[in-house]
Amino acid sequence: MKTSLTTVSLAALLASSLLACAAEEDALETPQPGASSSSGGTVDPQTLECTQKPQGRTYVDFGGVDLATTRINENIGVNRGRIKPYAVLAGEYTRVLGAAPASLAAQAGSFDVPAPRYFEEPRATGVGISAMYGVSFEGALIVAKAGGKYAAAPDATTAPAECAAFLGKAFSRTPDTQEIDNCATFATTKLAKETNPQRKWAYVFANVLTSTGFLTY
Amino acid sequence: MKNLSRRGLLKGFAGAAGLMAGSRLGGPLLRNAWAAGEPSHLVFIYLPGGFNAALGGVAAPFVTGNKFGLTATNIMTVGSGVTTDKATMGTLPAFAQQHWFSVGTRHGVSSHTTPDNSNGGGERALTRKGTTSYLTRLASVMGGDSALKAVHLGDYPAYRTQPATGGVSLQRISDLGTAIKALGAGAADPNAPDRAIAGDGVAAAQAISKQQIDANAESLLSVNEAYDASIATFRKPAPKPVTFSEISTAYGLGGATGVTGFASQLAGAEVMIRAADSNVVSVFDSGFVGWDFHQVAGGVSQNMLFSRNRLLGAGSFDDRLTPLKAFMSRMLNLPDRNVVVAITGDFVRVPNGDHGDGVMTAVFGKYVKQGVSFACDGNSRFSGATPGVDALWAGLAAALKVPGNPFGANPHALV
Repeated sequence: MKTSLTTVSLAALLASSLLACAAEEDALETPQPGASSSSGGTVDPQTLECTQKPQGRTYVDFGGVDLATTRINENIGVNRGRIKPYAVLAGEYTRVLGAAPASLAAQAGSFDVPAPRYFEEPRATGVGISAMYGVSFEGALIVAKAGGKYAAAPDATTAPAECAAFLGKAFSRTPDTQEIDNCATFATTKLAKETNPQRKWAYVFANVLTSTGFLTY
Repeated sequence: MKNLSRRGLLKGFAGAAGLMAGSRLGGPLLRNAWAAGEPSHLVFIYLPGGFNAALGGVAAPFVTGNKFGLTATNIMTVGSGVTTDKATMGTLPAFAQQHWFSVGTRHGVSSHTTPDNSNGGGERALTRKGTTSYLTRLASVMGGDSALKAVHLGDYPAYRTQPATGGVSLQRISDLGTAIKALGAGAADPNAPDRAIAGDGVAAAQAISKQQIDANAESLLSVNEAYDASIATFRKPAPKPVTFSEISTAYGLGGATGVTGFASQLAGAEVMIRAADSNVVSVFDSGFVGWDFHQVAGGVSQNMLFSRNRLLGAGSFDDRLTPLKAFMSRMLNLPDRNVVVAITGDFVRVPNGDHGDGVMTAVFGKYVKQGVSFACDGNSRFSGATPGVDALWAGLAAALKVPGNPFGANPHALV
């Protein structure tokens, strides 16, 4: 009896999950019109909101309570982004740079590394982001020094091209125009103080590796 | 009990973790609390589980009947009505004792704030007001140009649930070495990125990330706020050097940089005051409601005995009193800073060891007078006239010389 009750409950829970606003596809990069935004969107980000008519049926439990009553839904593409845990960053740096920066290993204290056998949703901190920038710069400088094409400082031609290539590699997708423009603008307007071309490129790549396209999934 | 840490327990509840708030570069809403020509800083030390009134500055009423095992010989008169446990708070530096004001607060809550009571309990009552946070609100009204106006040292639970105010939110510090480096207060590294360029670089990273942040305004809130904090930190000129070796020696950290206990939390408080000019430093002692001592022996509550042990480091407890005295000695009477220390907890304990419905908060600061207001009685009861939580924060704001009355009128004559 216990087993059958459990089965029924799980089936009801599963079925009711179909009430979510829309298909559960990974739409991290494609927010729906009207999606919440902290910087000018139409929906208060603190208020989860479903503006699309739910599909499917409703289910009630044995007490007659609608299983979906207390569920908080929101639209597709909203608030699905999550921060990569510290444990995977070495692999991620290796994927993009060919090796993890040496200083990464000493940065565990900057992250909320969960205790063994526990899970904790990672959260970002200002100190952590600053540490990540330093780690990223270190790794990016090694790459820049190894590549002959980085012997010359970024300019209006090379910056967009290299930004697009590096963004694509770091983000594992084709970057959009806005991302490339932001990357290239920094490369061509914010590095006058730096005289070493390879360090200039290292800054550019460190920016990309400190972006959410690399730090989140 | 030592192994049953609050941190460990909370890991199991991590799936329901709230959003952390990162510090942002918020413009000052008022002039910084530099009325005396010096920056002010609040170090808010929270002892979860309960805070015996005898530790907060009201010990004498319990001598009658020897409640909590307190006697005429094991308490001491500090002065101006302040009395305390002789073996622990009675050993604080003389300057601290001379500038100790005990503030009574009746919040009317007798439960703990726990994962299954995260919207209730004494801790919540003292640090949250509705959907706002007293900690970030105070840090916001204090203004100033600190890149990290409100910081948190500890693993539970305030930083998870303290909403930002006016662009200022609570920023957790988990490693002192990294924090010192990020603030530019450590030794110069010629291979490190230039701080000004790095600030522009993180700003570029934030711009590159805009679409994702907009689409994930809640789940990536901490990232966006962390960008702001990082940019502000990089763009600030490097402060006067604060070397970790100096801090490690002062607080007996043995070279370990992680914020893992009370000593490293107080060491971090000093770092964040000196290197970051933080307005509000939140220090939450670790351990799951670690100050919740209900033991009774021979009809007498053992709350003071265990509280004393927890402060002194007796038995399985870490020594908390030595780093507290070190912090008080080093920071309370600085000539160019107004450091205010508030030590409090969920509530006072009643003579049978159970929970009270208010708390006696021990407030220290160089402009703080010695005294007591709205003390609880010998049964740990507060009079009906005892003010609530707004008044506590109004008193703290007064000690910090914050302009105006951001928390309303201050009924505590502590300055």
